[in-house]
Amino acid sequence: MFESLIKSQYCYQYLTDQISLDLLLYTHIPTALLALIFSVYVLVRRRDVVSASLFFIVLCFSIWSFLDLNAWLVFLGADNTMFTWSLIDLFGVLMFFFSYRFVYSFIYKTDLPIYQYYVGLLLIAPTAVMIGAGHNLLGYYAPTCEALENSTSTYYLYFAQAVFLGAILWISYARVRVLQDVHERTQILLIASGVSIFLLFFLTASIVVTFLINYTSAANPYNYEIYGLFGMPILLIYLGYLIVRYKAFDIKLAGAQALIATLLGLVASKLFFISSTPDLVVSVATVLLVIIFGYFLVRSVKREIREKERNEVLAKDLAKANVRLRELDKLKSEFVSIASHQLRSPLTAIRGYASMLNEGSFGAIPEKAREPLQRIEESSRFMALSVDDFLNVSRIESGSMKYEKAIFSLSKLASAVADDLRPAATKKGLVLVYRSDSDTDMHVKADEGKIRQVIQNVVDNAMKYTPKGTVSIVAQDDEKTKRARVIVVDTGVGMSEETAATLFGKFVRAKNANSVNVYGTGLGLFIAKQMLEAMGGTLTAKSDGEGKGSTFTIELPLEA
Amino acid sequence: MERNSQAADIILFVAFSVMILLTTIITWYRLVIMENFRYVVDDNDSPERLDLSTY
Repeated sequence: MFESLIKSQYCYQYLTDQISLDLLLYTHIPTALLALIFSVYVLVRRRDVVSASLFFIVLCFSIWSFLDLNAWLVFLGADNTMFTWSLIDLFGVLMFFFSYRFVYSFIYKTDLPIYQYYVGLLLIAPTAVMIGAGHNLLGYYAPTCEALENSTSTYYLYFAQAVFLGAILWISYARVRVLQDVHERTQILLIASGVSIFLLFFLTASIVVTFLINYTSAANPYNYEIYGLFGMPILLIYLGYLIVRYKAFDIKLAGAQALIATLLGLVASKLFFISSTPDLVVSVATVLLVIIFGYFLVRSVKREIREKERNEVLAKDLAKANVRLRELDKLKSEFVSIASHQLRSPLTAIRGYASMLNEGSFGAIPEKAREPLQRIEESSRFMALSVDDFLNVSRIESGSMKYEKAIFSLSKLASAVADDLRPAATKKGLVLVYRSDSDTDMHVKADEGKIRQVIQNVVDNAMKYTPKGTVSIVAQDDEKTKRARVIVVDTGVGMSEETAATLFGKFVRAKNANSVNVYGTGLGLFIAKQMLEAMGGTLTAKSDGEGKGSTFTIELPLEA
Repeated sequence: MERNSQAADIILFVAFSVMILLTTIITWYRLVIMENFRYVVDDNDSPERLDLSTY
């Protein structure tokens, strides 16, 4: 392959005695190409200063790699060696400058300040001038087919590179020290360490070579410079991790595509060194397979990402709608609260005067007016209860419901409620019984008034939905679970599973409610459940089905 | 991301490009066209009396 290019047979022999030509190509070409593909990809996807800097780092690295490779190919002639050897330093220092720009823009999300560009230019310029003026190389040394470096310019180059590396470490340290966000800190640490390791590899390999040349008699010292190239794959691994883990550079597909590109690069680069036909066939087939599978993999990842993005948009819309709904719900509660307060006072007056008229406080009333007056009193009583329910709901929802907790006997309370409601039950033709299965008074810590309201609500509900039969109130305690229970069992209309599932919602009334002609707002059970839960208790309901009665269980933690 | 002013951008771009291009062209002309470099054949011919025994 190189025979036609050989200008110096002696140098060809000299090179191949020292190092394998294949190895030389294998270490330089794939890394430079891969890095270049990667950076072009990043640049195309995201045009900003971070991506542009990354592109320039890798461009300089690729040019450096190409020049270094060319400098190694000494058999192409002394002029070729001298030319490429000269320019290597310029791209070496430019790579350090762009690395600094890359880290700076990644950290501060903005381009370098202008003065830093000028400082950078000032640091790079001496190297450029020394190269142009021919001060960096002393001459061409024919016995080893190598250029002779001028140590002054070499040391200056190392100094400039070290300044850029130091600046990278300093800005990263300064930023990480003040940052609070762990994710951002980790990303900066990853970027800074990835770039620093890459540059350190590079700088160290060069310094080691200079040291070996000047202070030892090591054979073939330039061989060690090749190790510096391993810094680039390390940087790519860091960048790949950043992309996959933190979605840095906004590239979501890059994981799959970088994998395919790496595989393809490695497999394809083998093609350069194959001499036998069967090997060639196998390798070409492998390359084709990688391309085909790669295409399908990338396509499926693309589809998955599109799907995910669509879901994210939907989720965002949903969240917005939810917030709006909550606001509306709050406004509604406020409205109900204000309206109810305004209704309460006149209602109290209507009820009071209707009651007084009925009792004859304003003298005898005509027989004809008695029934309408009773209706007025009954309706206003029902209306007052509804207003109380609305007020309770708005208090629960705004979180302004107050609970005054104290220790009291739950069984005694349940018994008292049963006594209170018995006349109403009897009037309706129902039997209301109370029974306690506990040997103790079942002490609980809660707001007694509210618990009374809850039990009343549940028993009243049972009575409403029981046209005939019995409503039983049973007090129980469970020493094992430390819970006290009041169970209300009725022989009423029962409910379907569907109704049971939505029973404790706001404004929910049983489907068969109208069949038993029951007034109600559908708020009683909702309020009862909310109040119980706020005090650490539970309210559950079950029924064997429509027409088979219902069982409601009020549960509270037992006080020791 | 904010970039610096356009004029400064162009100046910098030109400065970097000129530096790289000029260095490359001058070096190419000097070393490849003119072959203006010292060709050291053996240790006695070394520039600045370098000890070349290590090469």
